Amino acid sequence: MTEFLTRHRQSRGLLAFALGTLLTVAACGVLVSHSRLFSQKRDTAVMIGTTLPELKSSVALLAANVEAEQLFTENALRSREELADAYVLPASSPGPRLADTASDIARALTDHAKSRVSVTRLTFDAAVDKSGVKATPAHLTLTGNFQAVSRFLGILGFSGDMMVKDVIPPDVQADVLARVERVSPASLKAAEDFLYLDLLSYAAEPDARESRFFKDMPADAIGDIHATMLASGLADVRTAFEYAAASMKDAKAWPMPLTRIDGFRRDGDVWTIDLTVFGR
Amino acid sequence: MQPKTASEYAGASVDPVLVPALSRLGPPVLIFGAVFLALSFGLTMLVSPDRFPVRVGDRVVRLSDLEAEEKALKVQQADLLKTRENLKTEEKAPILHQVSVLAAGVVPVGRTLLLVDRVRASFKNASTDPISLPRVELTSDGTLVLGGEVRDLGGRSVQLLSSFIDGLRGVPTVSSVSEPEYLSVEQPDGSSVSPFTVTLTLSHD
Repeated sequence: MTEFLTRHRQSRGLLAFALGTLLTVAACGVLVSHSRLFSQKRDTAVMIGTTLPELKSSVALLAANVEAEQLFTENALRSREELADAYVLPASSPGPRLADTASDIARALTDHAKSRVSVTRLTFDAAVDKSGVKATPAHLTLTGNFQAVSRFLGILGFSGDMMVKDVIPPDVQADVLARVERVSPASLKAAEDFLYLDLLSYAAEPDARESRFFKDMPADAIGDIHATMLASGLADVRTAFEYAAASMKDAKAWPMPLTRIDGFRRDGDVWTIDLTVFGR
Repeated sequence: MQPKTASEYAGASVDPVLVPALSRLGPPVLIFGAVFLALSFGLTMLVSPDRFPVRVGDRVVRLSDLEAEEKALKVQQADLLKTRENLKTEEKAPILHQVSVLAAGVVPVGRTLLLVDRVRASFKNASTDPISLPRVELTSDGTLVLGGEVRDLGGRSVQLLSSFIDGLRGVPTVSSVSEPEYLSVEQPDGSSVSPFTVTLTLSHD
């Protein structure tokens, strides 16, 4: 009996010892996992802290972009659509508008540039209908030297473009806006306004329009951004429209029908140009 | 009861010593283990990482604040992207959309001519305009053929021609420029003339 009781007491003691050991090991496990959690949370904090400024910048850019697009959609989109409907991709024949615009361009270049260019002849073939778009082949004959005709065709190359943002590739626009946000976030709205500016208005007074954009930016940041925008297409706008923009604006000669230059041939000062003019 | 012999003690090994010792240690070890585990849990609850700020860059912030800020920014970003998606003009301005589709992929002929003229004019000075381009043709496959001549009073027309070709290769809308034949025709007045024809392959917008 005594032996039984002794053995029973020893069994309970052993069980308590085993249980106590298990509980101690469990407690150690809890402490180790908690210290790992501390370390993980610290790493997470550092990671978030590092990526947060970039996320803030990206959200600020996106907000400015969306605000500008909302303003454009509310205020100007309808009028641009109407202009496109009437002049750029008209339902009626684009011939008369192209003839008027070509004459206005030639007159403006001749009056204000140092070399003459004139429209000698403009003829149209029958339109070809492709998936709801009418493509009308046209043949234009110009008289002028290389410089004058290159300006003329340079302006023709911008047919269909109505805003500054239509000239600058989307990736360059995004890069410029990102740089503006970095150096002068307060200038983001001015940057968006500049991109949505009417193209001929910009071409008529490019320096003044650019000054408004750069007004509040630090002087050392303007050079790079300006150079990027010029290289991406604005320099060509300035060159093409240099002598013609003001006259064309007065004559309401823009926008013009979307026109593609398919080919041309020069014979002395006579240029024969094959075009495709688009309509609906 | 007979006392055990030495061999009996040896055969029984450590059981008579270890087992009683462990069984006596049992309750204190159990109490220690229970208290240690309870304290561990208590410590994990009290000492939470979220309570302690961390230094990130030049500021000290709590992780919960950082996570909340990140979450708010991501929600704002998602809302803005959704708003922008709803502003897409295809439905609101179908004609403008059609114009942009048609205008994409157009070879920039007008722009190229302007840039070629800019390169040509860069060789002008007050008294001479050495490069003339009386033959210009844009073919149906989108290549621009320039035929002309370079005149130089000092007899360096070939060098001027090679500089002109280099300038054409720098035009961003031109993907390649053929190599012309470099000729030098001496004139009686000591000047030289280099007639040339080059073909420019235009890149698409």
